[in-house]
Amino acid sequence: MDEAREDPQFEDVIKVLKGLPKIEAHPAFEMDLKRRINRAAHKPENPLRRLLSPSRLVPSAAVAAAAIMILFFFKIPAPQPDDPLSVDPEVRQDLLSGASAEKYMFDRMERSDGLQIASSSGNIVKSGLNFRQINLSPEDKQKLQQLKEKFKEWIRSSDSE
Amino acid sequence: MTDRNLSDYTDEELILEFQQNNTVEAFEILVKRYKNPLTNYVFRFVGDIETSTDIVQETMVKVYRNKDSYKSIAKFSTWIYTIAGNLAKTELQRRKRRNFFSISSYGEKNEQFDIPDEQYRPDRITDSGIKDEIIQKALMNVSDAYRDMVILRDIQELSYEEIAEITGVTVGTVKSRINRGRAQLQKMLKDIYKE
Repeated sequence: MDEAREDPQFEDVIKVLKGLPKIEAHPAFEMDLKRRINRAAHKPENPLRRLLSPSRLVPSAAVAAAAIMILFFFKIPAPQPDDPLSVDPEVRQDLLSGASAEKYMFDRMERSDGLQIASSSGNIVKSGLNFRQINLSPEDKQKLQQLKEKFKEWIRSSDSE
Repeated sequence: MTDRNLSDYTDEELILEFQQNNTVEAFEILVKRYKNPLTNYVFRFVGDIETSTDIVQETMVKVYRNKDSYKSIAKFSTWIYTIAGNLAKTELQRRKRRNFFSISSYGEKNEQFDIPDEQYRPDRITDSGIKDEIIQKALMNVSDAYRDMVILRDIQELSYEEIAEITGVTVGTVKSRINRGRAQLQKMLKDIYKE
């Protein structure tokens, strides 16, 4: 150490520090060290410590932070469900006939663009309907047929009014 | 290389021998060479002999277990001093966290309760053992960053360049911090200079 290069104003301090006794290691230092090394060699590594070591924790934390930032800044819009109270119900166009269908659909036409009005022949198409099949006797079938005729007659008469 | 005695090897040759051939004797020679200087350095830094012994032993264990992380581009002394210094600083930080509640905070009306230190009385400085204690206490009152460098320069007698490598700062910063540390010490030890 070149004392001539040191700042002369600190000459006293440097002298005092150099005069301090040199502290030495205790005589059994090496023996204790050997025991310590052997203990460290036989100690099994804690898997949790390895998992939480900075070399693993830092990249995991960085990925987690990046994921949170992406979710925060780029909000993915959730699909908005239609309000069931404001949506017009789907109309079974195959169940409606002629003028009544036009009359029924009139308001919807005003509101909806491109709505196709289909005129029905009056016959109900049963395919796709979810109803229970009942085995009717011939008499019942006849009665049912009569009721249908009467109903058609009633609709025709109400349309003409 | 095999004709020479291991004790004639340089530090760098010894660690290389330990790395390549796992020669434990090479490691033991390094322990013999550095146990005292490191104990002195760490004791002056942390102020407690038991803690400093523990730190120096831990340093040696780290050298033993991580011998392959030493790269021969740096001096071995730089490497081992860096390990010891880092362990010592970690210990001081741990102590500061433990001493979070100072005695001053126990007063009812924010009164300061300082324990008077009788040993700083100038009439007791004539005993050299007490003088050494006073110097050590003054050293412990110097800021950690300055104290580390003052010890490495004025007690361990390392070069500015080596201190810069150990502490990871520039030579200019090393010189500046050493002088600030010395200035702090000078103020605290002015009574000792009367001797």
